[in-house]
Amino acid sequence: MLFRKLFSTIIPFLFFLINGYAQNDSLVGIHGIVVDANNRALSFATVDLLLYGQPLQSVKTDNNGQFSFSDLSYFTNDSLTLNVSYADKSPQAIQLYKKDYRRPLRFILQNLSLTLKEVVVTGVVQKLNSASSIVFDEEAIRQMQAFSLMDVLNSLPGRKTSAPDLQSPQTLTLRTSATGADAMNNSFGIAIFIDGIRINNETNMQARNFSYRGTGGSLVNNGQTTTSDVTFNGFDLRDIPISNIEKIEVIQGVGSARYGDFSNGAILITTKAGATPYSLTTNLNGSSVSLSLSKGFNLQPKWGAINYSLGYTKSLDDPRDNLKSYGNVSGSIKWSVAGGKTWTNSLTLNLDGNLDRVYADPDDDNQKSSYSKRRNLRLSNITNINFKKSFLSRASISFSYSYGIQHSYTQYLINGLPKGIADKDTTGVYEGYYIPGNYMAVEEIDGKPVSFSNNIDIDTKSLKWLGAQHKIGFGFSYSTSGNLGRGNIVNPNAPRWVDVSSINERPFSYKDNVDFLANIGFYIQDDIRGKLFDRPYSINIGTRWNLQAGRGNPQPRVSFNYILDEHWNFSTSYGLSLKSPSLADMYPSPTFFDIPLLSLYTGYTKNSVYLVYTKKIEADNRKLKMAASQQWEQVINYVSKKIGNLSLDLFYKKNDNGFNAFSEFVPFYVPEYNYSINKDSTIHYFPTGNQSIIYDLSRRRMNNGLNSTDWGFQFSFQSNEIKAIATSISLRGGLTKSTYRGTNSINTVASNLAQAQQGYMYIFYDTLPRVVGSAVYTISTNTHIPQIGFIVNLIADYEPVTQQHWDARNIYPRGYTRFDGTTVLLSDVEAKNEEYTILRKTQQDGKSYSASKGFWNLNIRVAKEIRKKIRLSLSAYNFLNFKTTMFRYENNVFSSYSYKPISITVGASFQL
Amino acid sequence: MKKSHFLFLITAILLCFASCSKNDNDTTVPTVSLSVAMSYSADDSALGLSKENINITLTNLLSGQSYKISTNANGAATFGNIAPGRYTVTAAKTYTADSFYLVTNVSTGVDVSYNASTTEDVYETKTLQLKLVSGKVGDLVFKQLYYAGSNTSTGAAFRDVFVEIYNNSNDTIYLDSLYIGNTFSNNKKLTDVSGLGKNSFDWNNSIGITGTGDLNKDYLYFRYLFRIPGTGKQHPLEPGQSIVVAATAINHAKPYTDNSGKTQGITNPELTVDLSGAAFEAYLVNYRQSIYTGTTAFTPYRWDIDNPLVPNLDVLISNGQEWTFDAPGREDFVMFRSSSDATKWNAYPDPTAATIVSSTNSGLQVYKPNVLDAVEILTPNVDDRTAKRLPINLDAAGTFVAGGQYSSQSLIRKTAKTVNGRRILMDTNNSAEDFSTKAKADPSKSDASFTTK
Repeated sequence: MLFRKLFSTIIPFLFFLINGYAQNDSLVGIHGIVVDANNRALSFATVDLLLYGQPLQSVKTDNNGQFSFSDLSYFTNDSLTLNVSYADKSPQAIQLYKKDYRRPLRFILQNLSLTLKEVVVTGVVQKLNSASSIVFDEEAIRQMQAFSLMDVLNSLPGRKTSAPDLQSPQTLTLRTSATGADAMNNSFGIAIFIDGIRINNETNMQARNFSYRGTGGSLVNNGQTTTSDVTFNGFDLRDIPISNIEKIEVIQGVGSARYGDFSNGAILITTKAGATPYSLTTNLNGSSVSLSLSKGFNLQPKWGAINYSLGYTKSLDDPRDNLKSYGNVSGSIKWSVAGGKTWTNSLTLNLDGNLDRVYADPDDDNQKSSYSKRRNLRLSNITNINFKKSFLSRASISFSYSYGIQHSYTQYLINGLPKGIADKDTTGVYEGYYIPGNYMAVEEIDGKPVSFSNNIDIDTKSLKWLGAQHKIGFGFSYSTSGNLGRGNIVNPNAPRWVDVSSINERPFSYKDNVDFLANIGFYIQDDIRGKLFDRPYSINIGTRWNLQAGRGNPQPRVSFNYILDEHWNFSTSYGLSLKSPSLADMYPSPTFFDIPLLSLYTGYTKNSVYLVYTKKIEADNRKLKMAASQQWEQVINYVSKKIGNLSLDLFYKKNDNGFNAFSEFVPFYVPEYNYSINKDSTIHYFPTGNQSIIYDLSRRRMNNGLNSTDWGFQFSFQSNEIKAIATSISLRGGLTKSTYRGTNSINTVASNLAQAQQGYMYIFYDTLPRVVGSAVYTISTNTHIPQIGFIVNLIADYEPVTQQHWDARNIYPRGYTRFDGTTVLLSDVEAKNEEYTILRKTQQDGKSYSASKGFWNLNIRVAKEIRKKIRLSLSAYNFLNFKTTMFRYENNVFSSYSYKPISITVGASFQL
Repeated sequence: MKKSHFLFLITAILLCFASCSKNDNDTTVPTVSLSVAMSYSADDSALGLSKENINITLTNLLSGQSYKISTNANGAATFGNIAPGRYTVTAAKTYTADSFYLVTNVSTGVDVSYNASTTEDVYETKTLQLKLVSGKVGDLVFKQLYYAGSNTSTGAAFRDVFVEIYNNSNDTIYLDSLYIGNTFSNNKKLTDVSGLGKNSFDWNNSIGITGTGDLNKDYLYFRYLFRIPGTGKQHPLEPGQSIVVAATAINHAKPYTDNSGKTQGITNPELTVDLSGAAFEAYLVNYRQSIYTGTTAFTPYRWDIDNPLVPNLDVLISNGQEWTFDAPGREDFVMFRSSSDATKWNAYPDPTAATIVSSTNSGLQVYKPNVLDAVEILTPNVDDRTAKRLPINLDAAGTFVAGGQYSSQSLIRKTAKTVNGRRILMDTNNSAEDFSTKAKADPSKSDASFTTK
């Protein structure tokens, strides 16, 4: 962790004050100009004003490279920090004192280079939009030779560096060690904002019939490889283009009220703006290759600047055969224009396409193949207005429209007996028909996610009230999203799955069945700054209100920061965040149970009969509530000029109403039929008059039944550079313990034969919670020799013993339903009654698993710059090729962890 | 008395004697002779049986006197000088199984007896033609065993399997209540590292098993057992004819014909067979539902369809979703009759199972069944062989199709002899000798189906 060297490291040869401007200083706030190394003005540079490390305001430079902060109340502060950053240039920070406030400032920004004295290649803890945000700037992203955002995020405290993997979807979880449905909820609750505009992940509906497959099983794959879709899950980070990223801020804790509709964290991406040199980066790892190009150039003065970027990634699973591959092509073009110091506007168009493809293996008799194509277009416009005279400071208005095409496909050559098909979509008895047994079965899902959003954010200037400064922010957001795709395209003459749990697929069109979901949000927050016991403090208190389909709950956020002295400061935060369900959660297709009554096949359809009873049950889920997450966070920072900076985070998260797929039993009666053969060999069938009950068929439904808790700590320490060895050391790590069930806390089971004979139809039992602890600690050294533009990073990850623990099973029933329909819930005492012995489960003791020892993993990154324009980099994961053999005792059997072999990434990057 | 009187007396006595000796012809009964010419029926003659040394017994109905004689090489024998009267003539010849085999090359396993009997009035010398008739010689046998299936992607995989049952005897046999099944034996290979494959199952270890006598030697245990339905004389099978019993009785080469007559076959119809003419099929859905005790929904196995035009076998036990054979060859086939009440037969679990779970297989226990035919199948690969599945007296050595699993090949029993157009198939209770590989399974029951092509 590295603060920008704040207090006494003013860099004299890069900055000097000019007294030349003729201005009425008493009416102008803090102001200045930003230029590049050739003295050319840099427009659209970002200038952040911070007070005690927390942001006060952020402006962009205008067409002449000039900026100013019109709020004169800033002058009351003893000292302020100014951070200036610009795409592809090394950022700078200076400390301003009262005497400097009125002087015009001049910043000269150098191009990013390893020959600069200061190079930050790791994430830095900053108090931006949360008390424990971690910021990665461009130099860090480049140094990590990232193929996707996942490679960058793996350097967060508590995560370990991994070899780049582009063959399966990369979803991110933050501050949890849960797996399964709880991990999926955590990932689904992480939002991505690009330039302040939220990217929608609720419109992904690429899933088959949810009724009998649940969440994981409904995604399309070809039976041998993992699926490529992330429906019900968080973002696939492979699909987020990184070629035009200037800065990433990761919120893991309590976010400010300005950002809504996420429950477990957010990634805020800022894209490049303004003139930049050609920047071309290429990386190669095994059979993965990535290329990215970005460039910005100024148009005629006053017409602003255009930035464009292109990215290409291709990865093969096995280079010996071309069977499985992932490819990504992305492009963006952005036009930024400023109207004096009053307003800036940027209009961006993003296009990207992703293809996960598995070709049929020529040796495979079943010719299995699959693909998932995703294409997206996004158009967004952000306008920032700075107010000079009024009590408002800034207003920001943004619009965004996105349209996508998603197509998932899999095929399988079926060789079987002719099958009976039921195809009606109403309840009743009817004759289906037979189809031949040999055909190419195809499963196809076509989705067209569409979303539109609009945000208005307004900040006021600092207002003095009750002895403290108040900066009020409020805003409004509106978004609507839907899916216009053809949906689950089912050809009943070539079905892939027939009669699985008595359920068959029917076509389900998204366009006809899925309504557009509108989400309206309001927020108001207050940044309060003052002094307590003569020490500065700040409180950010706010609340957010999201309304969706008539449901709305307040989401309060509060964060209290206290600066004890020049070394110590503390933050305590609490926040409640809500996440709305996805369209796939709210609009599952109806359930169709098909029960064959007579299946008589002679080889000729004209005298064969397939008599079937279909039961249709709607699966409306529009009443799903939002998932909630409450987090308490305590941050302790220690800053020392001699040693370095330390940040320690303690957190406790409580997640409720998570989206959960559970089994619901549906009892119903089915008539019995018998048949006789007519003289002409046709079949005559007739009902016998009897009916039988079918009570053990179930379907999956979605509810808000998941609950879990996560708690733990994260720390991050960055030392100063030890000049003798030109090296700085950083330590980071995190430990998380999660308690979760993975399903409803009470689950229902159909009775077995013995229980059914006594009249019990369904029995309810507790589900076992599970506690999992995981930790990663990292020591990394950073040796930087600016004279030769050389940098070496050694990253050692230590993963101590992880533990899993299950409680002993509760063998007593919680309640039951009888065949006559009565439901009885039992108290703890009643459940132990002798008459319910038949309902008890078999005893199962609690168990604990843990690995036998922790293990280390060493990684190295090396980069060398040549003539400031060319950079060659090499990273090696597990570069000493440690083969960890650690044992885990499970089911009375030892199993060893497989090792991941050395993985080398080579790359080159050019700045022209 | 004077000397002349004494001479006269002697002459008179002498004359008396002379008259006594000569004139029997006028007052005694004359004898007759009976020639018997033995022959066999046309079919039995063709077997090559000799007419020599057939024992003929002649019994006088009035006096009870009996005469015995043996025929000569031509089957002729003559009873000379017998009194006229009414006689029963019986002839008998019994061949032991070995001597019968030596002569005719047909193995029967039991003694073969030939008899003839008639009542005849013999008042003059005459010749009697007698025809020797045997009882039933031979019984039902497995003629063709198609267990290997056809190609899993271009053929019909394991769905087109069938057995063909042939009447190898000289008399009509009724198939009603015939039991057909496969035993439950150890499928682990002899060389299995766990050591559990070295021996056949010891049923004494099966949890909860009961039974009198030796549980291993006196009983057979079945994994699949079916019975041809019928009241007793509903399903006759003529000598030299056969029936096909199929797992699924449809035309597997062209399984689908739509209402307009358009057919759709499998990818390579040449690899499979048309079983729509089968006499019986195995449909297991009703049986599986009757024994289902699980907690999730009973789903009818989607590959098992019922052809309503083909009668279904009665199901006594089935461990699988449908009647499938082990395509690699760890299999056997048993056909038997039993007079005991099948409802009293119990199934006992796998003797190697330490605990019984829902997936534990079980064997139906049958006490000393009257086995008509049994064939053991082996794996082609010697390393995969299992312990002996059937006792040596049922099958001395097993066999397999040369092409192995999913090869579309079947095992065909060799023809020992053809007698007046009727084939008598070889049955020495040694499948390694009795069967050959047939290049393509053929359920047509035609004469060509007996060949190895």
